[in-house]
Amino acid sequence: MTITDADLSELYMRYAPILHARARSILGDDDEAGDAVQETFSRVLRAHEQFRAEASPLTWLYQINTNWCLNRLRDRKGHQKKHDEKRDRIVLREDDEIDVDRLDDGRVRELLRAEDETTQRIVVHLFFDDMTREETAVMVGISVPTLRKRLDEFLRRSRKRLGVAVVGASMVWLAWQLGGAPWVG
Amino acid sequence: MGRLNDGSRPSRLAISRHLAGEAPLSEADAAHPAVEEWAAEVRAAQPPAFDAAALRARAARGPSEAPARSGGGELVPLFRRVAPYLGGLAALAAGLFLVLRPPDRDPVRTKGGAELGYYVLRDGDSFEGAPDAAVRPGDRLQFRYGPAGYESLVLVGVDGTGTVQTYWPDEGGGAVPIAPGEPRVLDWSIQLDDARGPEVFVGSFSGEAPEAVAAWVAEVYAEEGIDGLVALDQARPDLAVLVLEKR
Repeated sequence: MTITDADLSELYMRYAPILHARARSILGDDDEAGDAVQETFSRVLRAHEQFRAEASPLTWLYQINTNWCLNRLRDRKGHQKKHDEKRDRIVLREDDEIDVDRLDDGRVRELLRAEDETTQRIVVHLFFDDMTREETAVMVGISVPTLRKRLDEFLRRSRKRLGVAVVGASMVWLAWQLGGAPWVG
Repeated sequence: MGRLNDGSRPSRLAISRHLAGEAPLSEADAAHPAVEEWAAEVRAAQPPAFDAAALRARAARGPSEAPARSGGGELVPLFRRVAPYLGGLAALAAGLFLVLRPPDRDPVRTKGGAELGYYVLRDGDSFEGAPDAAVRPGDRLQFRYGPAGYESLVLVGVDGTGTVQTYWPDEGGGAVPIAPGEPRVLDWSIQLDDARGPEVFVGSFSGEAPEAVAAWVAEVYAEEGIDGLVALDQARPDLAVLVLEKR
């Protein structure tokens, strides 16, 4: 049984704004978010029997939407500037820990690229969907302890990659006052 | 609210299911500020207009990979296209630079005016970069600046091939307003590519538009090379020029 245009329209009106807002938060781009919505609904057409059987259509749509967004983020590797820009600081204090509250969306997107698919899903659900660890574990199909371990490993790798640099203005000022040997002007 | 949800608020999925009429939130959850925050995002969303024919055509094509963005995604497409052919020229330019470069400049210059410095992240270690120092492909640089009373900054770079790239502002717009007082560190870093040779970074604190700065940097570099930019640096307190060599 095929899905009618009227049914499709009703689904689109109900879910497209949600999926668009969600894809925009993950991708940080309106146009790509629009493409994500259209691809997600084309999957509804291709797999409508499976879709109809879902207790929560939105949860199913989220899974499809996640796949597309992660593909899009991976594809961005080939569209970098001459020098790859990183929205993070590199000045390092060895005892710094990653402060997840300081990880903005752009930085999370950057860190995601180097992760395996399961970790990428975990990070998307935790950071962009604002899911709890328990909800995320169900969504990804792993146990909560496994999720915690993966999250810890992600944060550890991120710390290494970022060289976590939380140098406040006062430290910069201090370095300046102490001589600032590397400064030129 | 912390970045990670500790269960004290409904997730965006739960809120979305509530908004879609799939599963209502509890009274307590529905009153949480996170609900209105996400609902506002959803209300502001502007997905493509519904087009059943287009969706069916897309579905008929089968699963698609995320397509490349059309236009606007690359700042230096020309460089990328010709990059395979420029390797030899870049090496030649680097060699000429080594032969012809002026004597090393005083590592701590005291001309006054605005200043530009940098940190390096290499192999997991970070350190302050020295002026006129050699850097390596793959190094990540984070710039810092001393505004010396100026209130805006444009940061552009030019490499050994003459390719000019604007780093700040990084997403268009005019010169970036800055606080005129204390020295600051930019919030982001760049990772150097594989092309060897000189890399010159020019900080303009004059308030000129980024396009104008990029244009005259390209012109001066083409006509007078690095020395032309260094001479301007010495003459103008609203400029700071950093010359690095990538080996």
